[in-house]
Amino acid sequence: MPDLGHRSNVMGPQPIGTRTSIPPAALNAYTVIADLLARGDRGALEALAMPQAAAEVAGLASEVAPGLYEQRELIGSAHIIQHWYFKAKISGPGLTPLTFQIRLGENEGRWMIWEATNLSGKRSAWTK
Amino acid sequence: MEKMIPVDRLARPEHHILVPAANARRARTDQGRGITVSPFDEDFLKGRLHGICAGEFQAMEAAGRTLFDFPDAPWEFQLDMARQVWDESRHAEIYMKLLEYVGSYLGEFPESEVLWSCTQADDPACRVAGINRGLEGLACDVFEQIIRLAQKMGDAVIERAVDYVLADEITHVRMGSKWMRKLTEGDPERYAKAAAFQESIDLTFTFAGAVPPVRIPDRSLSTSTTRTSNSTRPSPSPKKRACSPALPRKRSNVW
Repeated sequence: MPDLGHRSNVMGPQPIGTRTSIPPAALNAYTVIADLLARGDRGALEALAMPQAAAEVAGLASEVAPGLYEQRELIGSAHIIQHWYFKAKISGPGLTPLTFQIRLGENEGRWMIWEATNLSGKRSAWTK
Repeated sequence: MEKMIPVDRLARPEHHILVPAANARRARTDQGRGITVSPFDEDFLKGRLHGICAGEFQAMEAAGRTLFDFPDAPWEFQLDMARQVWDESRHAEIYMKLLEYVGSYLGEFPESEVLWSCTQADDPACRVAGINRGLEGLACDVFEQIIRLAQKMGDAVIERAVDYVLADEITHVRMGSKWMRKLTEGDPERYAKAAAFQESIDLTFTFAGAVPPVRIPDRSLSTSTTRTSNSTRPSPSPKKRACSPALPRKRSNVW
């Protein structure tokens, strides 16, 4: 797509809305969860999972090599109303990176995991 | 190259969030909302335009795959599919610009695979019945809704941009009707199979009838009057279908 320059300096319709930012609390919750996953702290992770996601979270936690991951990378994010998806990767020397996607949403004032998918070895969450 | 590729073979930027449609619906119901985007959502316009934009991409890919998957189809059919790829790519660009206009961007919301699932038919007659008559027909309904919304907002940018896209979509539905009829000429069984495929897609998108079918004036211009229309059924003495006149739309003078 051609670059039309700075929108404020060109003729034509200007945006009528502003971009929605990731709520800081959601981003913070993602960071905490990714770190817990990297450490393999299954108990703490399961405490942050909604009942419907407990099995998915347990399955994801069982895939990690606890304490060996050194890097965490947020790949992407998106939202459905107030729930936020985070796609991320944790990696470490000599380890196959673990790519995962989680959906976080507030429940009684706490950001909880509503959905967790292990994307490692898959092309995407669309892979059946 | 492989034919009839599964949805996860579609190329997407790594940072895009892709979710199965069932999970996207669950994300809504988990928040106490209905399963479809609702005008009562805080970000209804962004979400709706985003869904359409993602749909335009998948429609572009679907028309391209139809062209590739059926090399023995008539030349004119292939030309129509190529034309549709061109149209859909333009639509995708238009909607990306509209997303920017409303303060969004492609990737703000997850993309689901539901449209691609409608391409999984090994007969070009089924493809055009499902995609052109089913999906593109539904798109006409949604576009009409957005145009009217834009009119109420007094927003000529959205109104006209969507109107330009709608003009193309009507031709795609018409193209689907034409090829569904031509490809099944003299083969009522094949016709019935294509009609059933379209019906299954209509049911998918109306959630097994939970969402009532609509009758939108612009859609009638394509000769596909309702979601369950059988207007392409071969007839010994085919009569030209009358186009219902579109309801007058109030045009904004502001560009």
